[in-house]
Amino acid sequence: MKKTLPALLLFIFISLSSTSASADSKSDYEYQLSQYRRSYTEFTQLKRDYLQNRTLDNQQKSIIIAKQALLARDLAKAAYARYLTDLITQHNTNYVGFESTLTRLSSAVSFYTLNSTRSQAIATPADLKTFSDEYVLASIIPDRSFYYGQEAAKLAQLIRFHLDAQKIFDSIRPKITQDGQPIPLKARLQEIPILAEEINQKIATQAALIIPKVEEKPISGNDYFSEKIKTLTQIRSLQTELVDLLVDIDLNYAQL
Amino acid sequence: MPSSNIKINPEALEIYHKIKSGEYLRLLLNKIRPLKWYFIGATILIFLLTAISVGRSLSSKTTQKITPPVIDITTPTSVPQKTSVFGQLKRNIQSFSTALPDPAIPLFDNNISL
Repeated sequence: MKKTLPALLLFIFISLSSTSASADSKSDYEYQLSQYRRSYTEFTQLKRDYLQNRTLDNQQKSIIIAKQALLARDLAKAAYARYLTDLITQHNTNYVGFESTLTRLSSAVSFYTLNSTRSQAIATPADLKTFSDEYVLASIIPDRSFYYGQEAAKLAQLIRFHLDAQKIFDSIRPKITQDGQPIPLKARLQEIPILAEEINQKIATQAALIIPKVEEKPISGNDYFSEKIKTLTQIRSLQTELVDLLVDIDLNYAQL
Repeated sequence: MPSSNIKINPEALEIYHKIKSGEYLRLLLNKIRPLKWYFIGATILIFLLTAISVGRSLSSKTTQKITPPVIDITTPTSVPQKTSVFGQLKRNIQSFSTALPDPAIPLFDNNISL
């Protein structure tokens, strides 16, 4: 009986874990984040109690709940990094420019997973302080990967539009590449590669700038994104221009 | 030879003189003057009624019926709406949001300590 009970508990835990793992990365992240928020709220309440009444009992309770908050925090971060990875890869672009960002996100997942287990060895307030002091410095680079992942996910979507435009254009190309093309059609066909190259260049430049050369400080606030939003808007405008050109060719020449 | 003995009524003679001098006319005009606009209005009304009755009598004599012209209403020809194979892609690009961060980056406390 003594052996079967832990085995049963382990089975239940594995079942629950596998259910969670089978859910998509977004719902997993949302679940882990809610767990973190709940644990962190409990921790702040117990910490307040402990600071008001520094008993050994309150200290132990605070340490236990702090460990839960640390675990939930790192699991939530890992889930968020996985979610961003999915946002980038779901567009199936296989874009080389994202490799470094995906590597960073993967390293971040490893870092958070490792720390989620490391934190469970904490036994005293001194241990907790040492752990957090180290974590503040060590988490700068992994935390920055969230910002890189955000940008890469947006660029991946724009690349997907570009690839789709190319694919559809290839499907109508036989209808328009015949002898005796009208002059306006020729002019439009000449515009397409120029515009497409401009979009490619902007995407490549922006992808190369995702990870900066200097990464000393943690990123805070949304100002970081203001310039990047401008570039994304420019690329979208160019893509709109390109697709308008393609619509014109399709309606006025390919469908005749 | 006819007799020249004609008797003239002096009252009649007085009336005759008053008519001749225009005294009666002045009296009549003095009575009419305050009612001038009533007379003008009545004259216009009578003129209009006369004109309508004349027009009606003339129109009843003619056999030709006048009908309003038929307004030429043209129905637009239905032109089949062409849809482009790039339509869905265009809609996707238009609905693409450049807002960042998307999804929001959650706040985490990296310095949990007592």
